[in-house]
Amino acid sequence: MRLWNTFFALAALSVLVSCTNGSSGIFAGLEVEQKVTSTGGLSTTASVTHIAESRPLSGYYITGGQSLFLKGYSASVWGRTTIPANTSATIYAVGTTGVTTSGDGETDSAYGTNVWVVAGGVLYMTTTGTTWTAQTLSGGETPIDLIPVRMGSDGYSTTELIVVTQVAMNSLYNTNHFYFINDSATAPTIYGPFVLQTSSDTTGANGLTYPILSAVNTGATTSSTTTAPYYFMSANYIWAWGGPTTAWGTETTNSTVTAYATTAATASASSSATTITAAVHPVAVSVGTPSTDFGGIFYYGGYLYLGTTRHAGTTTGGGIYSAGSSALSTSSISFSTIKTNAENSSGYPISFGQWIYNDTNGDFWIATGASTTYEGTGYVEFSQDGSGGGSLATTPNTNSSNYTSSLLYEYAVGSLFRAYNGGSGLYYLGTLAHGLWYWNESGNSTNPWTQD
Amino acid sequence: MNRLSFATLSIALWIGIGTFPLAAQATELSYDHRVQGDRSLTIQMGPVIPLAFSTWAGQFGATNLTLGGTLGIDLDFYMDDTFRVGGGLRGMAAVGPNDNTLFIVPITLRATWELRMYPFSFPVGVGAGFSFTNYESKTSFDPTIIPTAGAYWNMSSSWSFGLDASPWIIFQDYLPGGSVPASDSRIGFFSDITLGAIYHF
Repeated sequence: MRLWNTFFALAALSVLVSCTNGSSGIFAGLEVEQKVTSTGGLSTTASVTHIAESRPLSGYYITGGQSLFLKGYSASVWGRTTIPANTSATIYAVGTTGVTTSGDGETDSAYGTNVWVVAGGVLYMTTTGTTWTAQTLSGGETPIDLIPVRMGSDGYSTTELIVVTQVAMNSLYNTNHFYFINDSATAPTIYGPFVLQTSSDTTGANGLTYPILSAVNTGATTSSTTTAPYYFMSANYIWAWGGPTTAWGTETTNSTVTAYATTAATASASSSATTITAAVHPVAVSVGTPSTDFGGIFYYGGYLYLGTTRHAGTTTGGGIYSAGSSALSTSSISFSTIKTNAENSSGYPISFGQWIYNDTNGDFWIATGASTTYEGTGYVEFSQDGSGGGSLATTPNTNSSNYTSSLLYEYAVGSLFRAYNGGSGLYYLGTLAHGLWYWNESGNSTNPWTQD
Repeated sequence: MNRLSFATLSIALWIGIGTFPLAAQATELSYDHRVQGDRSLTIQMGPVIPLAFSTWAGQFGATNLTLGGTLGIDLDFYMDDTFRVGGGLRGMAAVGPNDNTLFIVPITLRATWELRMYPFSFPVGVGAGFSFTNYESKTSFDPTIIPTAGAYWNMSSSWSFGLDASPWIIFQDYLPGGSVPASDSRIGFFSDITLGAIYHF
């Protein structure tokens, strides 16, 4: 009888849920585990320009114009993987789309479910981690880059992608059309082709001059919009767009679309703001400079932030600007100045910037370069903007001392990503030609950046 | 010797050989250690086939595991001549795509019914308990059900040898809000075919 009681008690115990240490399930991880062609292999001199996370595929992907690497949540090393359809292809970009609603405790639980890669001039997608399918662009263009559309009020999660294409191979930024991949996890749609045109340009020729560098969706409507607008940043202009199926100006679906440039590039803002002009405050990095995020455009706490660099060789110009929701409209954006001369507190020009939400505040990370080519010594530091209103701290917080104490300050930054790490952030910093570095937020002032 | 004689002699010989152990068994089983109050200790080993993982919605996915191996030990107590209860401890290992090893250690309470057709017995039972699962640096504690069916030859009152086949059903279920997302919930299906030796005492 006692044995029967014990039997039933144990059977009752079996209805309890599993207990696992770690951030992903063991069986779920095995289901999507990819065979890596070589363990490790991430060189200390690798360039890392793209970092993406796919929670359903239980890991992170990085690339930098060489190979595609992946690392599982519990793995200790990065493994090189290939696209089975084209194992020798050079991987130029990686990004994610789709949404999983399985929150891990973070406020924003939208993680990419589909992983996209631009490899060998072809766009590939995987939902399983083991089978990659080539995607056809309706206009027949060659994809060269993937730009994440930072979503929502915290700008953290990316569930949509812009595919940047190239018509002629004579210039890295000689782009023409772009495509837009929406956020459906089960059946993502590639909209396009689209081209950025000013109101006076009916041929789309100006699209050749305006490669998209950064994109954000505010997640909230404004006084003059019925859907949350997208803001793209390209050379010399900020573009306001209603999205692939919402008409602004003369947009139509899946055809050549006119996304009217705002006049922000030459806008006169409020009386206390600075006029942003292309000559003095370029909204694009110079050709040859690594960053595609700075100039960047970000949305946080109801404010749209614009970051611009300054011309190489100059000592002034550029800056960080913000525009509140009341200042956003379809025809112009009025920016207020947060910081001028696009440099950090020590006077180094900003060469890279990205807004990252860390569960409590938006942090603006900037990297600087001391030399005219933006690849010299510099800093990665951040300033918190807790108010969301444009009051960036003028002095970096103590974490910058950790960064400058390492050799990392000598390296140009290609990408920055904050990964959820069970309550604290794990930041991945991709450099150019100096590998991948990480920093654990939980250690705060004592943790140094470490090469991965 | 003609064919008929040879055939007759062969048949007689086989019957003689065949009946000798039966006769011996018939004698030995009069002291059978398979009655109420007796115990049995089973040792098993054999391959484990990782079958599939599925979600609660019934979507099946590959395990990406190699053929594994298992070793197990069960201790049962006879409640009557055909029914025994007890506990079992097993261990299995299989290798993932990147040469990392998955270890599963189920600990179960078992109930087994023995269908007898001497000199054979056919134990059919079910075990329920939990499994310790480990892969890379992750460890999990998962509810488990392991039904079993076997076929054994009773060599003597103390020893039986045979085969068992058992599907392993391991539940990795996660609640929303935990460190592991609920979408990672899976049911793991494995199957083993083991050679077994039972000591009755």
